Amino acid sequence: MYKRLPRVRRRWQLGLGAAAALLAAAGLQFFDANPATSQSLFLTAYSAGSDPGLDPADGVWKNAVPVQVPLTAQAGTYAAGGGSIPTVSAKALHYQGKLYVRVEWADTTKDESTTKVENFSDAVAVEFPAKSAASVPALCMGQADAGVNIWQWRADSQAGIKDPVDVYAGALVDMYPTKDTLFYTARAAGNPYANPDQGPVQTLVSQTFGTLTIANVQDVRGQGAWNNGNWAVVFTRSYAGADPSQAAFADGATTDMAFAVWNGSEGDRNGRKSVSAFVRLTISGTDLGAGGGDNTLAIALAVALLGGTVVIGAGLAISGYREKAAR
Amino acid sequence: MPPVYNWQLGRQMDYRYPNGGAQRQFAAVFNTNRCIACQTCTMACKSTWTFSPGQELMWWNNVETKPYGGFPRHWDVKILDLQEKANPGAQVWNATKKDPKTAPYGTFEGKTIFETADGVNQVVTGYIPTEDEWKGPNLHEDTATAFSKNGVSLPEHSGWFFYLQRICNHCTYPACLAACPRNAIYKRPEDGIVLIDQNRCRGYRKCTEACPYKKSMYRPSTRTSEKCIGCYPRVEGTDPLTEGLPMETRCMTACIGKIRLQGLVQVGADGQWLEDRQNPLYYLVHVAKVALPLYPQFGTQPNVYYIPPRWVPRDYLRQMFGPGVDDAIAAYTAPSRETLAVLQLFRATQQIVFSYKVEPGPKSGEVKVGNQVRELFNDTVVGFDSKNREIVRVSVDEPVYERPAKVTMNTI
Amino acid sequence: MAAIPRQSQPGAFDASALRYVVGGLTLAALVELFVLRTFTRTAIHIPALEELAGPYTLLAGLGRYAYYLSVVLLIAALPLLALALWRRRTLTGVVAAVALTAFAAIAAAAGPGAIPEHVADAGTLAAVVTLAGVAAGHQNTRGALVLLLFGAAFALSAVHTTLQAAAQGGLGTIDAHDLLFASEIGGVAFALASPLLVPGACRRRTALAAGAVALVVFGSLLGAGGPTTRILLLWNEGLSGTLPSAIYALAAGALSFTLLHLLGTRRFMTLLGFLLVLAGGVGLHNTYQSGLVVVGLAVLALSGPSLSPALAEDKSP
Ligand code: SF4
Ligand code: SF4
Repeated sequence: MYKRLPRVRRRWQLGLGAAAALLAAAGLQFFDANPATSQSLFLTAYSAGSDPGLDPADGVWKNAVPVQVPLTAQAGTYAAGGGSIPTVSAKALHYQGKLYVRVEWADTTKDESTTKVENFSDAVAVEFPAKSAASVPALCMGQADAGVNIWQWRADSQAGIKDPVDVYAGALVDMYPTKDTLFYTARAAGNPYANPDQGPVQTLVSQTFGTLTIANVQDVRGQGAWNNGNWAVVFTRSYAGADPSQAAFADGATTDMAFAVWNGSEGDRNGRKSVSAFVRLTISGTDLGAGGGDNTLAIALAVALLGGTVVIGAGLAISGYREKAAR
Repeated sequence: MPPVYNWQLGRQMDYRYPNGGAQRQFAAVFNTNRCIACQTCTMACKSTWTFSPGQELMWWNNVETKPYGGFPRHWDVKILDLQEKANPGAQVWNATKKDPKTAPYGTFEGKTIFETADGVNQVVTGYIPTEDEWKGPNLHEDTATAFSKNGVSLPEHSGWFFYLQRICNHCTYPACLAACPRNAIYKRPEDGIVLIDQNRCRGYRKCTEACPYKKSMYRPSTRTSEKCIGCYPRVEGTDPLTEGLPMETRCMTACIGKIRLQGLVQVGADGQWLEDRQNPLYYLVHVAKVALPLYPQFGTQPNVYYIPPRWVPRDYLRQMFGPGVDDAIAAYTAPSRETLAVLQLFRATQQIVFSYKVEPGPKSGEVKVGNQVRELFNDTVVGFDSKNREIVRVSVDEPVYERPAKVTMNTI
Repeated sequence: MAAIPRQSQPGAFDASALRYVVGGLTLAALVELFVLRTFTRTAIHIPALEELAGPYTLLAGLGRYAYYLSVVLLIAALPLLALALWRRRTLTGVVAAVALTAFAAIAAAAGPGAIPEHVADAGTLAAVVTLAGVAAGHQNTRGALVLLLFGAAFALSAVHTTLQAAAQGGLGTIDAHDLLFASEIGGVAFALASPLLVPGACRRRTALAAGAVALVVFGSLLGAGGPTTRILLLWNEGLSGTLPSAIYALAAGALSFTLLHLLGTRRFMTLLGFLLVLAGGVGLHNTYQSGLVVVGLAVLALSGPSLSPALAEDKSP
């Protein structure tokens, strides 16, 4: 009966088929028409009734539905023998043309001082493709030829860059001949990392590929708070990006995003970090509902899905086995 | 990793970049035998470059007492330990595989800090000294290894210590530079000085971790790392004092003990010094072989050379300066006429001496070294600047002046 | 690797168009996986890449092209596989054919957003589970275990995603992130168990090569390349890397052993199906990766050592 399957009988048929496939692919690439759709986690930013502000504890956030995004394990976790999957819990809202993203994650150590040479800061970043890239789901980011816009919040920046004499109350210093900025060399050289007034959030961009650089316009605001072993950080920015290298948003638009978390006490810095899977962010025109409340439906759905999975999978495996035995 | 040639090790080694890249190299010779640990050099540096908030624990120049001292605490012991653990029992020299030019001290058959690193976790084997380890330099370290009841005598003192003067070595193959993921560290082709771009640095402290000499230091007030800049404006000759001619660094020129001589040497594409017979540094390092690199086995090809202390047990010195120690001490203990003359150039001028010549003088005396009687000659050494103009003239015998018995004023 | 098997005896299956499509698809998907999803995502860590801008852009373009080619062949493979399964005229064959068709419909509808996300997610989940079940039923017991473990890992992760999508859709939230941990264990167990698919004596060289892969993975997980390695693991395979590194190294070794053994024993169709499943990964990423898994499982269902193997291995009668 297999003879009725489509078959290739001649060389030229194979050639024709191959040519058609190659051509079709070229066409798709040329027109940037991607038939695939993202199925990753997604997050909907509803319109908030009042300004969420920068406080992660603001009441508005209560009604926003979080998405739990898995992170890659930290070097420390895994060296210690592993554990449950680390996640960040993300929420998003918008209010009067501004996007608000709130990220929360567990971290038992609050690392916000980098006074000591051996200490590194906790930090979190949200990454967006510079071009709204919903057309290439989950394939665009981290690809070096697609620009990335990163908003990074650092605990030590929020705590403020301090001179050691201000940190150590008992420090004994004979004298400083001058405290002129000129002699804070990196600051005088215009290094934004050395500037104490820059605020806790930095916007970084990477054009095509190469090194990440600090964006000329710093227009992302943010604030974090550590509570009972959890960091919660709010980022906000107006929809419009300062220039084309930065992500732009609009009501109804969809874009990819990912998160990165640094744990200072693990020596995390630079590429040493945990990164999340991709999340699709949709900015919805709908108002934020009352939220929360009933989860019976969700529980029922969970049970149905898991139960259905077992029944279908096992059932088919067994009936396949029977068919085999029957022959 | 591309192979590069490290003449101090007498072999090729792995390094992240193709070569040192400098045409001229900052280099210096420190005579440990003469240092009195007055720390004038340390303060000259501090008062020039590191007097501001956040630089309190930063000593680009430091003088520590060996064997117990170290800034940061136990830095060398810790790195030797890391290296030994990575390559147990095999960190050895083959002193017989020698070549006067390409392998003057023999061949190092162990692994460098680049070679023991896994290349993934670390580009260079190292560690970050904690804040505590940078605190309290020189505390309790001026201690001899033993109390010698009957006094001490050469060749090896039974109770000993000595002073080790340290600045950044402006290495030919800098570990700090190789480790920086931001490419914020660069080595200047014109003088080989290694600098951290303060605009690019993001304070990842990879250089602090990597530098085996621990000469890249973190500054919390700017969240970046800083290091010795080789007083580059002086070396460039932009200091008004020398009218555009290269001048030695602050720590060199301030030296009370006259132990330091610094200059610029010509370097070939493979990181080896080009023949420059009349350059005093070339002479001391490559002809007289009286000055040796500090911990050459780390593999960075450091550019500060030390005349080893004569009285210290040789196994300790061989670990610190390599197998050239015995020859260097012999050459220093019974110096040739030329060596003696060149040693007079130390701290005779602030300007960099690019070449010298020795004018023979009459025999001025005899001295007994061991069982041998040696003749001394009052030769004169003349130093020239980069334009071959005479800048200094010193004789081996110190001139003696006799005051009249009766002085009219009390001038002491 | 993905060579088209040549039939020694002129018979029923050598000329099946399906073989060519699946072979081409696997090849394209692997190029896409290594160039697009792996190389271009790690390339930013290569020093002095700026100087290689030209070759890099070319390579990235090639990776993209491989992706689109893979998509085209995927679309071609779906109806061919459905037809082959349908013509088995058994219950499982028909169910599997329906699942393939349903998946194609869901993927087509999800693009323009014609159906809600959680419905698309649940549909994909059902299709994968169905095909995993059918494929398992057509293996011997040991092979069935391997495929059921994969199905379970995929399902656990996909249920987590579906529930979150439902929550965003207003169906209420529950914290189900423990499912991810279960999925991680399932995924690793699948990899570790995969040699059960390949009975027979183990060849020394195959084992050595697999051991080498395990060592390389171990090294790259332990070092500072660890974060990058784990990012690739999460993005490509849907695993977080939270278990001790040695386990992942063993898992990689086991997978390589299975692949090499399949290659060595010339069971090409099983090899292709297995590679497609691996290129798709665990959990829901996008309809493309889900499609690779669906097609891979269907190929495994057709090439199993059981009845009526439409994609019979050369050795099968
Ligand atoms: S001594 Fe250290 S800081 Fe100086 S160049 Fe060498 S490696 Fe870099
Ligand atoms: S100034 Fe000279 S003598 Fe004094 S401590 Fe420094 S190197 Fe030694």
